[in-house]
Amino acid sequence: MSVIKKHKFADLVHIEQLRKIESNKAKDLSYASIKDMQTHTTNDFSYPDFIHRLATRAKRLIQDNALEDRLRQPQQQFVRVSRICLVVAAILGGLAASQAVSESSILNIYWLLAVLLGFNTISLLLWISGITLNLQSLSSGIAAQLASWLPYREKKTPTIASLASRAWWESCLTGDVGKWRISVLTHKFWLTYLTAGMGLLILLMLAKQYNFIWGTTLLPDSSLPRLTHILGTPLEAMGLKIPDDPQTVASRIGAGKQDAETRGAWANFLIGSLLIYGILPRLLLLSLSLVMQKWSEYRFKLDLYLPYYIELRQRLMARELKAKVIDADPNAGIKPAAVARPPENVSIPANAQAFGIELDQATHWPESVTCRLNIIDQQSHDEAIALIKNVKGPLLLGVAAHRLPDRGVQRLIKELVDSTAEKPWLILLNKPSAPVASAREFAWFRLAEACSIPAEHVITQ
Amino acid sequence: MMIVSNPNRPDNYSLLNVAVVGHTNTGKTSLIRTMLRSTEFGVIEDAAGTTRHVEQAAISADNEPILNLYDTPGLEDSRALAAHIRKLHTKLKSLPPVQILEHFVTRVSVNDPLEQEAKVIRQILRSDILLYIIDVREPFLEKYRLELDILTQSAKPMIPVFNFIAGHNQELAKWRQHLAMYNIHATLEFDTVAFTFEAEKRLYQKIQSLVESHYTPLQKLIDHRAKLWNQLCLSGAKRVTELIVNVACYRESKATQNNRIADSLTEDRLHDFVRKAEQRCLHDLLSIFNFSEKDVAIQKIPVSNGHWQLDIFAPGILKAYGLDVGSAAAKGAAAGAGIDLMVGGMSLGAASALGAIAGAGWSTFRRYGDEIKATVQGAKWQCADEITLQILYLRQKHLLKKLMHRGHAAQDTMKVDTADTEKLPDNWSKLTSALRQNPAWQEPTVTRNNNPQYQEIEARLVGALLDEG
Repeated sequence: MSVIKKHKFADLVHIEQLRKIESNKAKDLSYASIKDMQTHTTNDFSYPDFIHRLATRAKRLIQDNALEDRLRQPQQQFVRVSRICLVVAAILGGLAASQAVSESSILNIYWLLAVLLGFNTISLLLWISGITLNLQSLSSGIAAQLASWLPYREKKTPTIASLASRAWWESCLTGDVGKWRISVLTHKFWLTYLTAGMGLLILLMLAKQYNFIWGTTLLPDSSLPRLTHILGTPLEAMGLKIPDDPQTVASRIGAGKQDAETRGAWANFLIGSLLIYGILPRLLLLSLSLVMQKWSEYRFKLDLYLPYYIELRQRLMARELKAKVIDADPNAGIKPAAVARPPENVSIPANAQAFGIELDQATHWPESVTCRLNIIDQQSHDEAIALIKNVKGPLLLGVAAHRLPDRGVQRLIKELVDSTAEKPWLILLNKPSAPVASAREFAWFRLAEACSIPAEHVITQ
Repeated sequence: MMIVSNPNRPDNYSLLNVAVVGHTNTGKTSLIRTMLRSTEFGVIEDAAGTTRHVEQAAISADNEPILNLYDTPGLEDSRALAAHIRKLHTKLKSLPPVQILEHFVTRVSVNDPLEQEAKVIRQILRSDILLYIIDVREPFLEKYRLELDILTQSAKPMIPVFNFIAGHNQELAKWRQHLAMYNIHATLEFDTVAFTFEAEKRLYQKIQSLVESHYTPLQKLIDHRAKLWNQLCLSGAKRVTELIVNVACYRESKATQNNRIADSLTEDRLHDFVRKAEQRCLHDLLSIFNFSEKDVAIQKIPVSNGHWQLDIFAPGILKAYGLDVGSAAAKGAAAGAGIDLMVGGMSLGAASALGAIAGAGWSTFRRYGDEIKATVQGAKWQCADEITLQILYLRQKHLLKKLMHRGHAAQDTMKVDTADTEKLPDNWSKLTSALRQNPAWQEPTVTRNNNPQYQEIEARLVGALLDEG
């Protein structure tokens, strides 16, 4: 038996897309290529086996109906929109950096940090709270929502392409997979924004000499130097030179000229902060999201309780019945000879000697007849034979019509019939609580024939 | 690697061999069908000697075969058989009973009147355990006693299985008494027509206690079967839930003007939708429980070509369910969608507050956009009303229950018309109104299935459907 490999997420998405299309537009599809797909039989149902069959079926249907492009389209659209988002992010990052640099070669350090890192941090906090509280609207920002919306447009009269988009959107942009896919896009967006901003800053600082200043309107004067100190501690630990207190004080807005050392220290501080507080966390979260996306794609399962899959399961995965005849019937295929229904309204012969065959208490004889003996075992059988040999008058054998004439009963009746010199009669007795099927009656007629009881001697009630 | 079969040791030597024996027409093939959950095994007919050969079928757990079941011809002439064996006893006094049976089966000719009985005894001697099927509706006659005598001579463990017990308690008690006189107490009730999984489980447990050497594989089989059975019932209940959700969430927009023709068209479309949805559900339920459509035609379930003969909107149906016939709603009249705009307004407000940063506004608009638009335009929706949903639920619950208790040997007509014994789940109206509020749930989507509110509704409906109390 071949081992079936774990199916890819893309296969599952294709299956889901086909499900959407088939549930709405089955008439537009050609099923020629899967007609010959044989039912796969197994003893027990196995999920990978079934998915494998579904994937094969999907592949053939896609090829047959040239759906490849239309199924791939939503993914391509998503990639395209993501790229647009990233370009927008790069432009925004560049704009933010260039805004902080004034014409007069002065670089406002905290304004720059607020624009580049501040928004990033707010969005990061929102993302984290969204992920921890499982609120997708918080964790995915505008850009990601936009990117996820564009491929998905609901239509009143769906086309194959719109159904394919919808299915793709549902399986790739919702649920766990969607949460992490959108997170990836969000982190990429901010990473591009920060990288573009930082890149532009580095270029500007390479080409021009900037004086770094800071200033605040609302906060006390000591707050920003303290912030510089706090933010700078990890940078210092990494061996970067950051502005010391006198240098910071000297950089207060309007404080005058700056020496090269102070400028260098501020530039270190700026680039270091962007790296440590902006790019690095985003990179880490990006890789986490990528891993989580792959993991959730790996764990993605089709909802096999859906009617569509129940139907396909029945068609593709019929249960195998492992049965074989091991001790054959030598007379197999021989049908019993047909018997005629005896005439109706045969009257009970006068002076009949009545014997019952395995009757129970609930089975009653017609009032005109008295049963001499009910044969239930060997002893009563022997007694009956002895009686029959001695009595005069027609022999009337009563059987319960609802019960089954088996070979044992047939042999018993034959023995009784053989031991009488008189004409034998058979009466089918009814029990009020047990209806008699016509097949059952015919079985009795056949028995009568086999025991040489003529058809006109069979009485039905 | 090729496995070379050894003629002295069959491939399945370690498998437990279970012979199903009994008088003719007691339901031996039926028992096997029910255990296999298949309507395809063997031939079932209400006649003597329907099965005239020995047929083997394997039962496996997780694709690992655990036991072989052997369907045997019915014993028909046990008195002749007993007499014959008695004769052999007197002739071969020195031989133990088992060897006398062996002597009998090796010497019987093809045309012997006892050839069919010989087949049964041959299989008994090859098996590890016997299931002796009893039709309790039959009186305890001498011929059955003789059958038991002969089976006992084979020196194999035997479990008498009472079949057709539904509604025959007195007869069952009598059979128990008689068997007790023969010192047979370990019996089993297993109705092949009115099936319960519990009985099947007990059957395996009984076998387990009698054939100790196969304890572990049998336990595996019991566990596997229980798992499958739960999945089966869950699948059925989920399918019905899907139908209820599908119909409850469905809505058809209605023209603003009072146009009677357009209204009746809308009504027709709604009726058509509900009927078709129910038919699809029936079809799926049958296939979940492995009753094929072909089987349905034979079994005369009130369905023709997979269609309900009963029409959910037919006048009599409502009465059968004890529901109000006079209700205008029963005609499928509009039961306003009643969208709570407060909810929409609140989340819109909250969303626009966050919207600038989080962009949640879009999703809210996507959800309530239609309703807001409709309110502005004064449009209305028509949806399946409360009574329709109730009938649908009650009928499907009844059907599901019947399918869960239908043996694969059942030949009777399955009537699914009155279901006054079924109850609606608690908080039914809360559940349905919640469903109505969410028309987007009509189609199965990942978003819907991940929605906690939906999950709760689904769990409640599934729970209520599977609740047999």
